[in-house]
Amino acid sequence: MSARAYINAEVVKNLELAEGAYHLVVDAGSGMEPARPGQFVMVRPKEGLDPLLSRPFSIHEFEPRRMEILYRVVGRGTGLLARLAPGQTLSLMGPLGRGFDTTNEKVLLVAGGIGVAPFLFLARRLYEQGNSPHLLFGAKTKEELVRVEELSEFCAETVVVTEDGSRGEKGLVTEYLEAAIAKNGVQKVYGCGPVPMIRAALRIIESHGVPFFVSLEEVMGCGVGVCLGCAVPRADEGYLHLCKDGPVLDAREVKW
Amino acid sequence: MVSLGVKIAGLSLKTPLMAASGTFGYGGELLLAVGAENLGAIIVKGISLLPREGNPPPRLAETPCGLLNSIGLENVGVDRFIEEKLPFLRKHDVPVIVNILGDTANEYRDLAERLGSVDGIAGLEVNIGCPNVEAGGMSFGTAPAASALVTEAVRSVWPGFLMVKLTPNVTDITEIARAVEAAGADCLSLINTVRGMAVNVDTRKPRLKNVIGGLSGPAIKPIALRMVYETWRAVKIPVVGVGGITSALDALEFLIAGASAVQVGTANLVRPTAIREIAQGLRDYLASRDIPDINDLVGSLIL
Repeated sequence: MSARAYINAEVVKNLELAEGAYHLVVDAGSGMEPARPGQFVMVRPKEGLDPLLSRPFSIHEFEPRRMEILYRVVGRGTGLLARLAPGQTLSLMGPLGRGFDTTNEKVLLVAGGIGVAPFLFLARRLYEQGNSPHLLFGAKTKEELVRVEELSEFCAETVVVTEDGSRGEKGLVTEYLEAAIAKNGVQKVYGCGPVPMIRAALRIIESHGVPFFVSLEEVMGCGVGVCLGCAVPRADEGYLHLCKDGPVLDAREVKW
Repeated sequence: MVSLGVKIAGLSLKTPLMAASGTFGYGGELLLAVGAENLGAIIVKGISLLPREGNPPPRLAETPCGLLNSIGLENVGVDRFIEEKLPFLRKHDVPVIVNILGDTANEYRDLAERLGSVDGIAGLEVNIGCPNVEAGGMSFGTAPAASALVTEAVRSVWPGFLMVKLTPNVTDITEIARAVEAAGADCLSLINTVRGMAVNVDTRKPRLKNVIGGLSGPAIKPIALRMVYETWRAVKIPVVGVGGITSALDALEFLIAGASAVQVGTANLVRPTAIREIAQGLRDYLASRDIPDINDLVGSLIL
């Protein structure tokens, strides 16, 4: 049950890739069980009770011992994380939650900004299975297309879109989604990014009758299903809990 | 060898550490992380007669050393609890205390009756912090008469261990405590969460969808400790301390101030192994001071 306990991990790298967007690599030692693409970790300072709660992050890349996340500084917790230097220690718990289904189908990845986080691990896994995915990656500027070089190595095709046109196509990813699905005979779409992007993408993807799975974000208390804090409204009634039912959910199951 | 065992109103606990309701799920998720030998009792997530789906998100907001929540009493309902959750809990050598909640005194009574018909439940904890639907929605626990009414309703059908959880959102908690004691409670647990609020100054929206929530965590510990102390002096039945306990030192403060046992709540969310670590900290404290028995500390406050 090591997934139900925090372990200490040493910071190997904590690099600002674009303004406010960081790439953290830790050495988790031998205490972390193997992760699957799409799973998440809870991260907290090694000591102290303020901030009280841990922060959940999608696993960006994983190998035994080595765990990576991408994060954006949005408040005090991530601000403290950004100040950690190589050699310092943090606490983490994971892998947690349900990840992506990695069966071999024609897969399209749709990422918005820092939402690209879970896709490197997923793309590499698919690539190793001989099933390189297609990638549609949008951001405000070319600087925010973080980790695109690393990611595109594992993708059959990479289309980048920036709102200011500084790289690739100009506009929003959703304007290029229709073509990406039709051209490549896509059988399944995975998405991660801002909610307006996901919502717009869902309409387009649904009209093609293609399944759409999304990796979502919500404030979490415990990460292990006991506090019921990370509620996401179900399409019919009641709530899903992101830490146990997700963080990857069928977009049609969610009330948007 | 030091002893952490305590006995409260006839219920024997291996340690004075109970897992507080709503922070340990239905036991399965965290029991293995803590170890049955460290756990005095599990108080399961509050159960109502019918399932409740809970409040819309956001349900959580972090504050300095604190957590505001408005989960909204989401639970699977008593029938699913008995069918799906209780069998797992029964398998472990840890007393199971069921936290119950309702909209009316009759609902509390019906719940207690239903739970009385099955094996494997060591006791009940009555959450009287719920809105009293028949009296305009004001919390049962804020009025002595309504608190007593619910306690009597449960007592009339439940002869076993009966703990009543008091809300701190009152002017004088000892008045409620005495009313609940007179109505037949075996012991009191306190405090429930403190009503609170937080605002996002960028959006000017409340940080909880429900606007107001309950504050827990280290931020409320001094309030809880004060109320435990006041209540311990005001009643004859045992008091169980709850509120912001995250370390052995916190637990010791409560025991010294009069608590016969304590509940660990939000700390379980912060670290699933919290109770294991606190139990070890208590053993170390006793051993290092040559105190053989944790009960020697209860109410040992020197004024």
